[in-house]
Formats: sequence, structure tokens, C-alpha cells
Amino acid sequence: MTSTLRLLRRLAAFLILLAPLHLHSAHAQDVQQQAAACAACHPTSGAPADPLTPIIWGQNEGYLYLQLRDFKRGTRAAEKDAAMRAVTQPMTDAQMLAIAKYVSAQSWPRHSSARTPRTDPLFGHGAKLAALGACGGCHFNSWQGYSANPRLRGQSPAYLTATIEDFRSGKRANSPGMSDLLRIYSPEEVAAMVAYLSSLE
Amino acid sequence: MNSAMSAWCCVFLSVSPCISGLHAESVGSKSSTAPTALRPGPLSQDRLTAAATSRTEFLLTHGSYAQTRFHLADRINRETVQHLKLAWSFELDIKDSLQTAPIVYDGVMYVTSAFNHVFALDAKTGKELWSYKHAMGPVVSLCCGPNNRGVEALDGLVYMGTLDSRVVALDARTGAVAWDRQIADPARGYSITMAPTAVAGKVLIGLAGAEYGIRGALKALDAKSGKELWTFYTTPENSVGVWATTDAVGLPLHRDIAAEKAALAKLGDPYKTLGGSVWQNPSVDLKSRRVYFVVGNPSPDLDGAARPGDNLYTDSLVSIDLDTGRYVCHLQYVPHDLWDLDAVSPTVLTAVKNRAGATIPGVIHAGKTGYLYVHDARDCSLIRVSEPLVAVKNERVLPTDEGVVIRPGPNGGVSASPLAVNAAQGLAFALTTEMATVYFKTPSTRYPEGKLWLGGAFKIPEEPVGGALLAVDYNSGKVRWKVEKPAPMFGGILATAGGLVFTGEGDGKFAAYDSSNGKELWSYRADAGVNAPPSTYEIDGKQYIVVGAGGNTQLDTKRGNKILAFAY
Ligand code: HEC
Ligand code: HEC
Repeated sequence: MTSTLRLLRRLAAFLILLAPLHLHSAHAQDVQQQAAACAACHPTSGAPADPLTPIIWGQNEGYLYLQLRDFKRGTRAAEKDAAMRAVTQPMTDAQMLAIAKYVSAQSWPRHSSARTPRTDPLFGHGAKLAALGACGGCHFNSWQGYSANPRLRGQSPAYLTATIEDFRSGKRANSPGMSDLLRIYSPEEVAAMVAYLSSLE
Repeated sequence: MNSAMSAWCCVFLSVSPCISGLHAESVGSKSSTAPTALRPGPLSQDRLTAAATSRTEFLLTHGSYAQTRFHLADRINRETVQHLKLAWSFELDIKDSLQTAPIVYDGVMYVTSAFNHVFALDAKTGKELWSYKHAMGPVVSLCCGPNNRGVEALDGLVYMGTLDSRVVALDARTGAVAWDRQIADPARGYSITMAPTAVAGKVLIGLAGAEYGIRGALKALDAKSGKELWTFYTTPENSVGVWATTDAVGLPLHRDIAAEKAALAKLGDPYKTLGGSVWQNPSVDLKSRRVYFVVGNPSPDLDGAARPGDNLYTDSLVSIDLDTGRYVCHLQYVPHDLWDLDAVSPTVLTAVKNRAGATIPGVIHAGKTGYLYVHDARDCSLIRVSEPLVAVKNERVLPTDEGVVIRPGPNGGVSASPLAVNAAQGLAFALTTEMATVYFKTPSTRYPEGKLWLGGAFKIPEEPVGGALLAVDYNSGKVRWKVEKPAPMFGGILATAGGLVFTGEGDGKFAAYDSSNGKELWSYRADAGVNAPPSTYEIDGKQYIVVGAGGNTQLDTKRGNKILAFAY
């Protein structure tokens, strides 16, 4: 099964789960149920089955809200964003804010995806590139970021690689500044930064 | 860019390849504690107006409305400073970037932490009187760390601007919220890191966010109610200017004016998304009732294609009327900036010599460009520019696809660190950063509705970095003395009538220097970067020096959570 098909299946499951809920409601209990439906693709523990699906639990509130808004607006417009475009289409602004608040309050899932050991030169090279790139000026707080600045620490490496490519190609057009900053790196340099960032526990 | 450092603000670039694991650790919040006998009175305008004459208190974030950071207390001086000892330390509830400039009156000290917590402390003992923990809104867009630069007080209220673009007024005795006003939309990139200036029944507050395409402003709110009295937009509806071909120093800007004119005809004036952050307190001259302040970089930081013209009043000194907010004069340091060279360090008002040798009211600012600028306060005109305070390379050379190494870069020069000025010596003391930056040109993009908009990329090359504390004779523009340091200097300076200057460093050193020659006379080692401006005051015959040790996000110095008070 291709990963697109897998995603479509999960999307169908998601929509079925959501059907009985009040989609426009931002009430606490409804928000919790809506968010539970997200777990079909973004599991609350362990790594997502599809490596291109990011970890969202414990991600920063401001960032989560802006991404939901941007998926709906279509400024994150890679092919693999189709699922999130569908998910966000019926959501109101208040609902996106409520879900962002709820999702951000959960803990970042522990997972045992492949990590690059600290002793691997790739890890050190990535750390140095990220420091010289001043990435920590915005993704501060030990790479946990804050509010609209996302956590990068421990994010899925395949997802990070893919979204960085989307930034560079302009398919992810919701942060031209982030696109600019990432355009100057070679694929090898991106791989090193991803290895470093995704391997931080 | 700033708030850091405003840096990407000040894009502040991180220097150390080692990533400390200490950041933004919450160390448990303390509940507001029982009131003590200390009852700060309603700090009156008369006392604030005369702040520079107080030997015992530190009433405004930069000492006085002139912002000299010069204090008359001289019990601690070149002879006695060796006896200076830690009197108390207070632990804030957050370990992160600390830039707070403490104010002290009626025995009470007011400080802030990262993320907008406010603490009232007994200035003699460091005991907490009350605290206020700001409940942050859902979206905060920051360029340079969760910084806050402190509070000011007037008539019983204490004022703070917040990262989520609110201004809050707190009861000086209890910390209770008197009013709380949202003045801009954080989801469109607006934030506040500066301390407000409380003056003449108003709270002056500026907006930052030029990394997100904001329209910058300085606003006056009614001090009692928070109601907006006036707004001065830092990017006027006609932002085009004079098509300057050189900057204020005389360096060629390499502009393609014909192409810019064509773009202007096509795009119209870019003022609505042109940036122009305000990162630091304005100076106020109550005699002429004028306000002086500097404005940050244009948006997007490195790409001029979307913003034809000089981009007024970005990268400028501006003077406006205190009562109406109306424009009086300006001088632009870097027209059509393509290097994130915003003006950040707060302005200082002091008498200066003009070119004819006459003493006139002046304004001093030291820029990320690495020059100290001396102005005529009456018309903002430039009297002189200092010799370069840092090593310069490829100044105003255009960013390229392959990248070009330029010094100084977006971290300055002199960044958000306030100067101190000793008028009797005719010296301005400044903190500098020596750091090269590689600038890259990237394809132009349209205004992204409040999302990150830089218009180019930077990275730090593997070249030596450093910094210095130096003294500039502002009547000649010459550097009088210079103490070189192994790392960028960021924080702020206090100068005293004791013939001393105090400043801190990223490695935790906090030291006193002889103001006439830079000789180090005393030092202390804190457990985190001392990257905040010191203040001083006297209680019961003892003089205190107070400074925050919490490190800095942009420079990635070690984070901590202490307010340190030294006494003799
Ligand atoms: C059908 C599968 C699916 C469902 C259901 C789903 N997501 Fe996603 N989500 C994805 C995929 C795939 C991506 C990655 C898109 C990309 O690469 O741009 C993603 C990305 C995201 C992102 C961006 C994260 C980042 O780091 O930028 C957020 C936020 C998000 N989802 C939130 C949610 C929420 C909240 C829900 C429930 C309301 C939800 N998702 C339901 C598949 C899904
Ligand atoms: C000036 C601030 C700033 C700097 C410097 C910066 N970033 Fe970002 N970054 C952001 C913001 C803001 C976002 C969120 C963009 C959005 O809303 O879509 C982001 C998003 C990202 C994402 C997407 C995360 C996700 O979950 O999808 C990655 C990956 C990333 N940045 C990597 C980097 C790297 C690597 C560097 C250094 C080369 C860097 N950033 C430097 C501000 C910054």
C-alpha cells in the first residue's frame, strides 16, 4: 500500500470518528474527542506509523494553531498536506485555537525511532551547523522553541527532512523567512542538522 | 532585529556551537508573599523628572529621561570598590534570557524575568514583596528570545509591555492588575520587549516584529486608564525619502535607484508592512517636550525588492512631540537597509560640542553598524560619527547568491546594550560584538501575513568572535580606551560618580572598571551570563549595585535566574 493510500484510510477513519462530534464546538469535552481523532495518524505514544507524519503532542500552542490555520488557508500546499487540508477545512478559528491548546498541553511521546548516537560525527556536524546557522535564536529553549516557534527537538527525522525540502522548494509557503534560511544548505548539511535535532531525546 | 537582542532583530546570531541544556527551565513558582512594612509611595512625576539628581534611588530604567545611566552615588569608588561584596541574591522562577534593568524607589526594587514575570523586592534584603506572572496569549511571535527589559512606575502604578503585545499596569504595592490592554496582534508578528517610559501622565511603548512585516509604532497610552492617546507610526505613508546613495557614514549603498523607482510605480509605497521595530526606551526632554528614539530594520530584513525607497524611518533617529506624537525631525543611518543593521541601543541626551566647538544639546546613539553617532538635538542633524568601534569588512556590500562575509553583521556592532555616558569626562561607554556574518541573497517573496519574512539568509562563518568594553570621546569621535574581551559583549553599562563603570559578560563575569582608563578594579563570577544592565542605589548609608544574571538567548550564553545585589 502506498503511503498516500494509508493516509487516505486514516483520514477516512478520522472523518468517521469526527462525524458524531460538533465540529464547530470549542467546548472542553468536544475538543478532547476531536483531538483524540487526530491520534489515528499522530499517535499519542510511540512514533507515527508513517514516518512523514510529525509528532504533534506537546508541540507549542502558537505554532500548532498557525499550522492548522495555514493548512486550511492552503499556504502549506505539498501533496502530502492533503490530509491536513481535509482535516482543517471544517474547523473554525476558535476550534483551531482550542485544539492547539489541548494538543500542546499533552506530553511529547517517547519513541524509539532510529537516533544518531552523539558519538557519530554526523551528530556533531549537525550541532555545529545549527549553532552557526543561529537556529537556536528562534528555536531556543534547548530546541523546544516557544509559542509560534516550533519545537524541533526529537521530531521525526523523515518528517524534518521532508518539510525542510518543502520549505526550500516553496511548497511549504507559510514561512518564507524559514524557507530563505534553509535554502543555503546542501542536502548533506540538511541531513546532518536533521540527524542532530531528531536525535535529541 | 530583538529583543535581543533583538537581533534577528535583530537577528541575533548564536555564537557558541555548544548547546547548553539549561534553557528556560522553570524552577518552581513562588506564591506572592505576605506584605511587609515596605510601602512604596506613589512615585511622582516631579521625582521622575529629577531622577538624575538622586543619590539614593534608580527611578527609570536608564537612570533618567536623558538615559545616561550615570548615577551620582559615589560611596563605591575607585578606592572602595575592592570592598564590594554580594549582599543578597534573589532567584526568579524562570531560568532564561535576562535583560531586565532594575528600578528602585522607596526601598522597593522592581525587576522582570523572561516571559514577563514581574517581581517587587525589598531592595535591602532581596525578599519578595509580590510577584505577577503574566498569562501569555496563545500566539507569540519572537525573533530573539523571550526577553523583557524591565518596568517603569508613575503615581502608584508599575508598567510592563509583554511578548504578546499587551501593556499591563500593576499596583506598585500589591501587584494587582489595574489595567491590561492589547495594543497589537501577536498573530501578525507584533511583540514587545522594551520597558515602557512613564512620563507626563503617559506610558510610551513601542512595537517590535520587523522579522514578520509589521508596521512599527511608538504609542502613548494614558497612564491611569491605558487608553490610547496617540500613535506615531515608524513607517510614514510616504516612506520613500530622498533616494540616498550613501549612508550616514558616507559609505556607498550600491542601490539601483532606477529599478527601485520602477518598483515603486508598480507596487506603491510599502509602508504598511515595512517593519521599523522599537526595541528600547525613548529619551525624553521635558523642557522642549520632545521624545527621541531609534527605529529598527525594514521588513523584509535583507531584500529590498519589495520595499523601494529609503524606507523611512527605519534605521533612524526620530524625534517627536511628547504631547501630540507629531514628527519633529529624523536622521536615517542606513537608507534602504539590506543587512539588518537596525538602530537598537537606546538614545542618550547630553550636551555635546558641535563642529564649531559650541556646547549644544545633543543626542548620542551607537549602532549595529559599529559607529557612534552624535546629533544636534534641535534638528536631529549629524554632528559627527566616531571612528569604527569594531573591525569592519565589506560594509554595505550587497548580499549575493554564494554569500558574502560582512563585518559587523546583524548582531552588531553595538546591539541592544544601552550606553552609559559620563558627561564630566565627555565619554560614552559602549559594549561591542566582533562577529562576521555571511549574507545570502534568496528569491523575493511577498508579504506573508505576519509570518517570518527575512528576504535572505545568514550564517556565521568560522572566524574568530569577540567583543569589547570601550570609552568613546563623543566630542572628538575617538576611542579613548578599550578593554578587549574573548566573547561578544551584550547587556548594558552603569557609570557612577565614583569614577567607575560596571558591566557583565556572557561567561558570568561582572566587573568594575576605572572610567578614565578601563583598568579592571573588581570582579565577581556569577553562575550564568551577566547580559543585563546594572543599576545602583543607597539604603542606610550603603551603596548597592544590582544586576541580573540569566544569560542570553541569541548569544546562547549560560542561562540562569538570579538577581544579584552587591553592597559596600
Ligand atoms: C489522515 C492522517 C492525519 C490526521 C487524521 C491528522 N493529521 Fe495532522 N498531519 C498529517 C500529516 C501526513 C502531516 C504532515 C504534513 C506535511 O508534511 O506537511 C500532518 C501534520 C500536522 C501538523 C503540522 C505539524 C508540524 O510540525 O508542522 C499539525 C499541527 C497537525 N498535523 C495537527 C493535526 C491535528 C490537530 C489533527 C486532528 C484534528 C490531525 N493533525 C489529524 C496527517 C494527519
Ligand atoms: C528568525 C527565527 C528563526 C530562525 C533563525 C530559524 N527558524 Fe526555523 N522556524 C521559525 C519559525 C517562526 C517557524 C515556524 C514557521 C511556520 O509557522 O510555519 C520555523 C519552523 C522550522 C521548521 C519546521 C518545523 C516543523 O515541525 O514543521 C524547521 C525544521 C526549522 N524551522 C528548522 C530551522 C533550522 C534548521 C534553522 C537554522 C538553520 C532555523 N530553523 C532557524 C523561526 C526560525
